[in-house]
Amino acid sequence: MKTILFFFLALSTASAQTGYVCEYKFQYKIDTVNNKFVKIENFYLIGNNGQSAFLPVNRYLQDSLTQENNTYKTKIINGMTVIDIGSMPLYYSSIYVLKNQLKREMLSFKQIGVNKYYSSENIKIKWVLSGDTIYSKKHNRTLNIATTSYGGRNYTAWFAPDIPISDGPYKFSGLPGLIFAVKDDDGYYSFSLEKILTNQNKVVPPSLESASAKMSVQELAKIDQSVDNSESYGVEVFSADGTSIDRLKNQKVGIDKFIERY
Amino acid sequence: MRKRLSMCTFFFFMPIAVVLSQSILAGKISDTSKESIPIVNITVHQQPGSSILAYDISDFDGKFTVEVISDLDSLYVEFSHLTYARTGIWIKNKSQQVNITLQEDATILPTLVIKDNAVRRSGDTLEFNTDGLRLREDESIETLLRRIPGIEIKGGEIFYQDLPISRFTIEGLDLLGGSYGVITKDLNSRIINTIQVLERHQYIRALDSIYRPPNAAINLTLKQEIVFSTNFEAGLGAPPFAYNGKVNEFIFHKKQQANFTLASNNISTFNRYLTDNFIFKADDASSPNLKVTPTSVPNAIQRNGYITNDDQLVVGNAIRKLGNFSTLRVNGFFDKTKWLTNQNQTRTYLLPQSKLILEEQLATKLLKREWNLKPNFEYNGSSLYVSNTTELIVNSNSDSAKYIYTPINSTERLEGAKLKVINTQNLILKRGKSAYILNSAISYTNHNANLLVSPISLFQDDFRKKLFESVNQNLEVSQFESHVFTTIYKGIAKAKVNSDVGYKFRHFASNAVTSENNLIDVPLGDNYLVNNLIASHIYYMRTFVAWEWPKMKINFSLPVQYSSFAQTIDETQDKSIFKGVTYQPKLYIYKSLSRKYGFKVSYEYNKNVGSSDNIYQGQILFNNRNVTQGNTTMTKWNNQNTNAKLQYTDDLQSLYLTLELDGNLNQSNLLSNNNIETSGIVNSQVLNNNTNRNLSTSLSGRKYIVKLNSSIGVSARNYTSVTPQIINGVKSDLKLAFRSVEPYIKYQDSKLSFKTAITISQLKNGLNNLNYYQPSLKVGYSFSKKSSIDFDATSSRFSKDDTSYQWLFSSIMMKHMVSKKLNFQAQITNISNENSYVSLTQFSNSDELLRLNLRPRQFVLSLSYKI
Repeated sequence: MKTILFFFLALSTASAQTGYVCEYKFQYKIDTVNNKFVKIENFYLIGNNGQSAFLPVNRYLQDSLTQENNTYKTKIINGMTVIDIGSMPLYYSSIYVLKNQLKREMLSFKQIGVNKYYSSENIKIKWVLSGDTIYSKKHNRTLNIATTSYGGRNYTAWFAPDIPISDGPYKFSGLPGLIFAVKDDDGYYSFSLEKILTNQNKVVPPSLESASAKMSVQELAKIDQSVDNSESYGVEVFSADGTSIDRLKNQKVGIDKFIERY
Repeated sequence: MRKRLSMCTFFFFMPIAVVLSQSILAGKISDTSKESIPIVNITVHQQPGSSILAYDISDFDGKFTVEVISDLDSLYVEFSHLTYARTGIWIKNKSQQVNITLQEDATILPTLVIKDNAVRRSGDTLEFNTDGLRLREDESIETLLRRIPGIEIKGGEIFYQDLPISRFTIEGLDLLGGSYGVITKDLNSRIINTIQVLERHQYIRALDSIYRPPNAAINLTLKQEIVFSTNFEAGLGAPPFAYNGKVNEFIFHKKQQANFTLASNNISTFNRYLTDNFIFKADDASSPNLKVTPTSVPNAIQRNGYITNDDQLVVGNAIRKLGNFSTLRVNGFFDKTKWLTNQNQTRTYLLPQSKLILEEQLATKLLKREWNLKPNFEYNGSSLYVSNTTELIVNSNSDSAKYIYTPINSTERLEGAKLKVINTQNLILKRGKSAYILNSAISYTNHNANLLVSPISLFQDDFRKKLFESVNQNLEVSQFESHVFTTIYKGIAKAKVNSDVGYKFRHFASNAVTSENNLIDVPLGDNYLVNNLIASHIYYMRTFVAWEWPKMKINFSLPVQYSSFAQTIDETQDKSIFKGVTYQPKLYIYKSLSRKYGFKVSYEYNKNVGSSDNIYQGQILFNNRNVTQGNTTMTKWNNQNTNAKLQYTDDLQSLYLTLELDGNLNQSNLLSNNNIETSGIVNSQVLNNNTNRNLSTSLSGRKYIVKLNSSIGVSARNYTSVTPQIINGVKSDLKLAFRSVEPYIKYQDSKLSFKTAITISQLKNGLNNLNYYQPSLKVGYSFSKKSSIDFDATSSRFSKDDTSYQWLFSSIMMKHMVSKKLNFQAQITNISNENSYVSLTQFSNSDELLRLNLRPRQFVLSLSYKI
């Protein structure tokens, strides 16, 4: 309950002037045996006053649409008003992480169907600075390197000490500078900073604690695993060389046809 | 043992323990109002900007603890936060309390947007971001294309991995029907967002899953929703008054695109050849499956030489996307051309015993108008493809010529009109893994010509020459052709069945009336009989079956043709010359032996009415992508004709070697009757024995390059023929040519280049020898990347005794790029004295050399401007 109050407080005191909005590209292989296909999705890291949220860009946009207009976009077919799902931005990943740097705590949310779950854990990632720096041609900037272990995997992070934001993608934070990229040593997961959006009027999205059932981190991880294994619908799949199997398009066409039919 | 190990470990680590000491820095961070600041980054460095030795992040109460292991005397500690000023302090390297107050100062975050990767592959599509390819702002699309690996541009045509591209589109729309030169050369690459190379592109969606050709297509995507591009070019010159002007406007949009060109000049250049968006080709507007035989007008006037030319051209191209799958495209043009010549020429006739020289004066005038309109509708669905094109061509010619030469003064006037309508229809239907293709074409051509020649000397039947005051020849050709071509794909390109059913009707009428009002029975020109009416009907059907495997192909075709040909002479006789069935089954098998080599065997049987031929052919193909291409062919007909051809071409080394033996051998007759009455014919030839070697060497430093490119070639041809008419005719020509020596010196941005060439030829025909020398020189100097000057000169002489050995300075051209958009050009053409000339040499069929005097110099200043 204390946490719920805290997040609502965080939302109400959010200020765009002191916040930051970063966009990351998340890329991961959907099959650890077959390296051929990877999923790619863009995420926002929206932070302010020590709290931050990491969620799919399209989820943020969808929630914003819902909140701002307090309604879904609709269209009238055969005299009936139906929700225009086709016009809504679609997202695929269920990752939704809220971090509280002040409390050193983070919440992970998961929605499966209509059921919502969350787990809570302390921010306790211990980074080892390598002391090396590397020039990132992509970001046109010199980055420092740090490594850590989390969830049974070894990760390497590249961060910029000149940007005093000790935050990063997913559950990663706690380095003396913004994390530009994180990658696990096996190359299954990678986050890469694509944009730092300035002059953005985005607020940290709210916690979903009140509507979610609490689970342990391990239990939630098990659910993650089962969902990922069965989840193949509506996912834009790329082969390792970038070949797009445009399932999103097919899904949208299917939805449109469905709407037209009814 | 354990004790000893412990001792070793102690002594091993002792030095480190002594040198590196541990300090613990702890403290509290607060702002100016003494409020604690959480989430401050505290980093410890050896000195500002150096790597981080240790760090911590302040907690909710602004407290932090940093453990530092270092032997340094002093440490630099830096405090940073998003909303406070970055602050650094020097402290002693010892455990201590560090409390600090930070001033409020918001950190301005850098704007970071990662540019798209320069290259991205998605399936068979390679996408190149133009920002990643562009080195300078004003570069053309062609320059960018040249930087893409695998793309080559030869003579304006784009090749990808040695194969010409199949389509060039902007936003998927093919505005210019493949004539993309104007887009790649003239348009600035800034309007383009990406260049997509679509490998193995099948444009027709219905065939995409059935057959994919090896050729790639190129698509450009636009940066903006709509793009306008305008090019102006204008020039003035003298003497006499000369002008040239061109406006070229492009409008590109994702759904509709258009292009208009207006061009006019009187400086002897044909706008249609200079206008790259001119997508029409003479007499080649029909579908690939339909070939309408072009009818040539008797061309009594040789238009070699310098011609004063007025040319006005209007070109319009437009395309619009009607829906996701359908487009409408309209291409059209109007061209009005006036050619004028007025010059003296010296004709040298080389006869075996003497040299006859005739002085000629020639004045010709040709006024030609041509209209063309070509709308096309296309539906490109996933299982149905429909394309319908109707092309309307209207030509009218008015041509007159006047010869003045000894002993006859002659004039000619030709009036001609031509109407041509072609409708082509393409239909493709996909059912499962099979596709049915139906192409049909209907063509109608009507061509009228009226040639008046006066006076004219014509040979009569008994070879006497008679001079007529005038002869008027009327000609009418009308032709109708209908053609249906079907293809069936079965499976995935495993078996293919084509059949082609057509009907062709040709009506040909010609007569010649002399000034004495007599119909004369002599031909005027090769193709024109006199007072003849010829009607031909041809029905034909071709079947073509192909099986294809990854390494093997089998093709079988069976063309069957029924022809009926009737000729009427003097309107009194009706003589049927030919009527019957022809069939020519062909079979070939191609087996790929490796990536480089393949073997092809073919068999052909020709059955005409009253005769039949068998042809066997073996061929070894070398396929090594431009490095080595060669084939050998041996052909044998059943009537003892033999043909063997060995050809080796090596493009990489520029070595061309062709040996061809062609014999129509009837040996028994030849040996027994080796005289003029022999009915046998021996004709063996060695043709085109060409070699061409390129040599290149260069010397370069940091700022300069000296490079020598040279090319040396020898070509020789001779053949011997024995015919009943000529007892022994030997013709040969030998040409030695330093085809080009092209040294250049480049120093920083300036470049001085030379191109020199000399050709030495010897022609031998029976008793006559002719030596011919032609050196040429071209000098170019680029002052910088913006300015250049080019100088052309040529000279030639025909023998050692030829006194007219003079240089001809054919042109000087200066170019200057005033700005990225504005270009300036000055050209002086034909700077010469009155005795200079251009040589036109015909080596192959005639020994005649023609030399023409040129008009005096002409000077044209041009400006071009791009928007």
